[in-house]
Amino acid sequence: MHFTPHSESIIEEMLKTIGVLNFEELIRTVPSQVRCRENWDEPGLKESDVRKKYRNLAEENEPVTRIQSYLGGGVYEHFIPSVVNHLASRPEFVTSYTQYQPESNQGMLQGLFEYQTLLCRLTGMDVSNSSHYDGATSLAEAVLMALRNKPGKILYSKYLHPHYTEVLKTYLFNDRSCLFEVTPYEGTMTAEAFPKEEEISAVIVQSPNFLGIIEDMISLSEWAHARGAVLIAVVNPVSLGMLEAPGNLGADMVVGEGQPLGNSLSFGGPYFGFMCVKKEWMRKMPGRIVGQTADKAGRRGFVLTLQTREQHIRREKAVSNICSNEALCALRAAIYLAYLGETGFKNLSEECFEKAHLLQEKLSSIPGLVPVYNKPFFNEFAVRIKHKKIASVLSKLRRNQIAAGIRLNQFYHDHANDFLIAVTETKTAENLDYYYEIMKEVLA
Amino acid sequence: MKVPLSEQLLFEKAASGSGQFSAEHSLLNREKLVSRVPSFFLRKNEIGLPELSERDLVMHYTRLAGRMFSVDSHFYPLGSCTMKYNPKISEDVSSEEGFQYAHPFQNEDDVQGCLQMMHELEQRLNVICGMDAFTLQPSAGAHGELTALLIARKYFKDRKEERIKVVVPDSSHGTNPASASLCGFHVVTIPSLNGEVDMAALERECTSDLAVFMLTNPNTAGLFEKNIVSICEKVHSAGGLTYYDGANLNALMGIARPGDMGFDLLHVNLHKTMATPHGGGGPGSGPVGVKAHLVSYLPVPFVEKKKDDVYKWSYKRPGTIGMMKSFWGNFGVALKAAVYCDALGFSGLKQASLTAVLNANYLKKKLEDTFTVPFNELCMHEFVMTPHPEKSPAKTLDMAKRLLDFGIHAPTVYFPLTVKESMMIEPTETESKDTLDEFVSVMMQIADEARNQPEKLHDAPLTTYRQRLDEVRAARNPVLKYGDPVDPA
Amino acid sequence: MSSSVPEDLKYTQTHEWVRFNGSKAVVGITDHAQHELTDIVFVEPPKTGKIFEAGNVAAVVESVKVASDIYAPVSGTVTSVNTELEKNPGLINSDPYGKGWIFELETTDTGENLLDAASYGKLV
Repeated sequence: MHFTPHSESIIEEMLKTIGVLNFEELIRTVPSQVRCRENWDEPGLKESDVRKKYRNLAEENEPVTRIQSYLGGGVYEHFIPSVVNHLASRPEFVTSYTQYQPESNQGMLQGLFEYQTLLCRLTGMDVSNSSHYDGATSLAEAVLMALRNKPGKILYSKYLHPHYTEVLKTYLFNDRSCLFEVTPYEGTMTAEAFPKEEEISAVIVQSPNFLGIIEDMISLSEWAHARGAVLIAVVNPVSLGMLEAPGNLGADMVVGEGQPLGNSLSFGGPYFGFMCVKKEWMRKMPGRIVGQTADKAGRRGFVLTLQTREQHIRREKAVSNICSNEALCALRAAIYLAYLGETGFKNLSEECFEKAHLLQEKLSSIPGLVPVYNKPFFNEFAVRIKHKKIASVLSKLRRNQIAAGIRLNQFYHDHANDFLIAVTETKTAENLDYYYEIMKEVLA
Repeated sequence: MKVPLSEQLLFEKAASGSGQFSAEHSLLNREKLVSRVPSFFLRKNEIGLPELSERDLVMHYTRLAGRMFSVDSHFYPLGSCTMKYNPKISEDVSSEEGFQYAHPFQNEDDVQGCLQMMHELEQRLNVICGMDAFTLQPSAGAHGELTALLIARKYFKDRKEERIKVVVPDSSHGTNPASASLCGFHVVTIPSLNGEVDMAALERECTSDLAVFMLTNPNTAGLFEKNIVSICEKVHSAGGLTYYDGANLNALMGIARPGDMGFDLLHVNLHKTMATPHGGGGPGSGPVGVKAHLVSYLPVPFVEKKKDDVYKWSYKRPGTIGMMKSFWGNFGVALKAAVYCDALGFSGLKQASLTAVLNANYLKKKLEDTFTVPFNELCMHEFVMTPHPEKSPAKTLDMAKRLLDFGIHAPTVYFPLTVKESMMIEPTETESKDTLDEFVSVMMQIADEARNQPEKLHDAPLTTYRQRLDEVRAARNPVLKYGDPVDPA
Repeated sequence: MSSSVPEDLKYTQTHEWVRFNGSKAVVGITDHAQHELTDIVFVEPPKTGKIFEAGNVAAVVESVKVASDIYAPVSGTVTSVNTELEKNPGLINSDPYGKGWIFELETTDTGENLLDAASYGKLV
C-alpha cells in the first residue's frame, strides 16, 4: 500500500517547477556522508495481507472477551455501548489536532469543556484539565505541583498502585528523599504511621487503594491540612457513582486513570489521566484547559485558555512539558458518562460493588481461601490461598477459562500467596457461581 | 433566553430519567448494599450527570463533529505536526477483538500477539532511525523527551560527571527546554545563524558541564542542518550527549538516519511520522531510541524474544530509569504505526519522505514571490514564510483566520519564535497536486485581499460556526466548566 | 506608533518605570511594553514584605500568548501591591503610568543607574 498521490508525470512536472532534475537533486542539502546506505527496497504489503498478518497476531492473544476475566489492577473490563464507539470514532474528531484555531475546532472544544464539567461534578472539584497521559503520570504531575508550592515529604501508602509508585520515583529522580512510604494498618492508611517531625508537602491517598479497600479520606485530609500539606486523591472514577466525591472529603487535587470510562483495555493504552483541582491551583495546573468565551457576534464559544502555563509559551519556565495529551480518550469518557446518565452511572457503580461482594462472600466460604483484609472495599479485593500452591491453583482456574486475578507477589514480598480479584458488571450471576464452583473443586 | 437545541451543552438538555444502563436488579438490594459500607463513605448528593436518549446523544455529538476541521475533511498544513492522511486499515486492525480486549495484566501466554507486535515495531524503528534499542513506553513526544533526558541524567550520574546544562537552539520546540527543566537541568538557549545552528555559539557552550544538546533535524525552519556531523562531534568531544527531537522525522525516512548523524538518543512521534491519528490533541506515542551505550538505562519492562519465538517480559536493564507510565505504553497507537510500516514497507516509507519534501518545495516555489521566505533554499518537508510588506501586507494571524473561510486549516503561526510573523507550512506527502494548487490560489487571493480589502482579513473567519473568538476575555475571566460565573462583559 | 514616556519617571532597559517618592519607589511597565504585550490578562504580583535585589524577577505580567517577567528596577522591600489588577488587569493597558502601577518598594536606592526619559525614549 502507499498513500502518495502523484503519478510519474506529475512528479516530473513538480520537480521542474521547483527547478531540480530529480529527487536526488531535491535532497541535495542532505550531506552525502549521512545519507542512508541501507537497502530500502522492501516493498509494502497488500492491504489484504496486512489484515491477514494482524488478524493472525490478534489470534495469538486470548482476549478477556473469550474467557472470564477477573483482572483489574487499575484497568477494568466494562461494557462499551456501540453508540460510544461510533461517536468517538468519528473521523472529524479522530483526525483533527490540538485546537490552535478555535473557530475551526468548536466541536472538540465544546466536547472537552463538557468533559471538564463532567469530571468536576464526578470528583467534586472546581477545575479540570482536558486530560493527561494516564493515571500514574497525572499523579506524578500533581506531586510536582505540590512540591513547587511547598517542599516536604510526600506520603503514600504501600498500597498505592505499584506502577504509580514506580512512575513517581522516575519523575522524582533528582530527589527521591521526599518520598515516604507509609506502612498501612490492616490494609489502610492511618495517621499513626505518619512521620511526626517532618515538613509535609502532600499526602497521597488512593481510594479504593490497590487492594480495592476504601480509605478514610476525611481524616487523612484533616491531618494533611493541619500541617499545611495538601491531599492528593487517586480514584477509580466508576467508584464515584456510589462513593462520596473526594472534593467533599477535603481533597485539594484529584487524579486517576480514566480508562474505566468507556475506553477499551487495549493492552495498557491509550487511556487518559484526569486531573481536577481546587480553584487556587488553577494557574499552576499542567495540561491544556478549555474555557468559555464569546465570538465577535457575542455568541458562546470555546478556546484553549490559560496557555501561559504551557511549554509553547513559557518554555523552560512552563509548569510542565506536556503537549500532546489524550483528548480523544477524554471525549470518549464524556460520551460514555452522558450516555449512562445519572441513573445509569450509579447503577453501574453499585452493580460492580455488589457483584464483587457476592463473589467475595462465596469464595470466603471455601476452606483454604481467606480474604487478606476485612475492610470495606469497592469492586476489588485480595484473597490468600492457604495450604496449596497459588501458581497451580491459578493455572487450574485458567484451564477452566477463568483469569482468576492478579498475583500480588510480583509487587509485594509479603503477599506470596495472595491475588487480587476485580469484578465488574460484565460478570453475570452464573459467571460468579462458576468461579466459586471451580475454585471449590481446585481447593478441595 | 433559551439556547437553541443545536447549540446546547449536554447540561442544558432537559430530558431526564433516560439513563442507559440498567443493572441486573435481581442482584441489587439497596439496603444490603448500603449495609456493607460505613455511610460516611457514600455519596450524599446527585452527581449532576445529564440524561439523554441515545438518539439525542447521537445528534449532539454528530453536530459537534460538524464543527471540526480534520485531516479527513480539510487540507491541514500545520507545520511540525505532520497532519498526513491516517490510513483506515489501522483503525480496523486496532479494533480487532484480540487487541482491544487484551488486559495489560494478562499472562504472557495469553498476549503473545501483543508482545510480538511490540518487539517487531521496536526492531523496525531501530532500522528507520539507525539506533540500537527502543522503548515504546512514552505517551507522546514531550514524554519521550523527558524519558531521554532522565536517561542522560542517570548516565552522567553513574559516570560521576557533574553535567547540568542542556543546550537548545532558539528555534527549538517549547517542549525541549520545558522537558529539560522538568528534569532539573539548566537550560541554555543559543541563537541561530541563517536558520541553522550557530556553530560558534554552540562551540562556546561545549563546556565540561554540557549534558545534552537537543536538536530537531530538519530544524523548525525546514532546513537540513548541513553541519550536523560536526555538531554531533563537537558535543561528543565535550563529553555531552546528542538528542534528536523526532518531530520532523517525516522528512528523512530512507534518506538519512539520526543514528548515522551521530545522535545518541531520540524520540519518534508515531502520531506524526507513522500516520496514527492525532485525536484532537492525543493520544500520541513517543518511543525513545538509544545507542548501545545507553540501552541499559531504558525503562522496564521490555519485551524479549526467546527460543521458539516465545515473547516474555524482561526487567534485565540494570541501569534503568524505571517506569515512565503505568503499563507498557500506548499500545493501540503503536499497533497502528506497525500496520503503517508494514503497509508501506521500507520502500514506501522512503517514498513518503521524498514526496513530503517534494510537496513542501513545490508550495514554497509557488508562494515565494508573493510572500517572504526568510531562508530561501531547498527546504525539507516544511518551510517558513511571512507576509510580504507590499505584496501581502497583513498580520499572520489575520491570514490564518481568513484561510479558514476557504476550508483550509491554518499553518502553524508565530512559530518558530526566531522569525517574526512566521507561518510554518507542512503539506505532507499525502496531498495531491490539486490540493496544493488550490492552497496556492487561495493564498494568492488572500494576498490580494490584504492589499485591496484588508477588512476582509480583520473580520475573518465569517463562514465558520463561530467568528473570531475573544481569547482575552477567556483568559481574564476563566469559565472552565458549565456553571462557572460568566462575566457579562 | 510613538508611545508616551513621561519626563518625571525613571526607566529600565527591560521596560519598567519607577516613580520615586521619598524612600518609596512605585513600579510599573511602560506604555511601549504594554503595547508590545497587547491585552494584559493576568498579573502575578510579588508578596508584600518580600525583599528584592535590583534585577530580580519580582512579578509576571501575562497576555494571552506571552508571559513576561517584571524585574525589580532597584533593590528594596515590597510595601504594597496593586490589588485592583486582580480584577482588572487591563488597567495596565489603559493607564500604564497611573492606575496600572504594579508594586511599591521601600528603597534606599535613588535610581542613579536608571535611564531618564530621554534615554529611554531613544531606546523605544
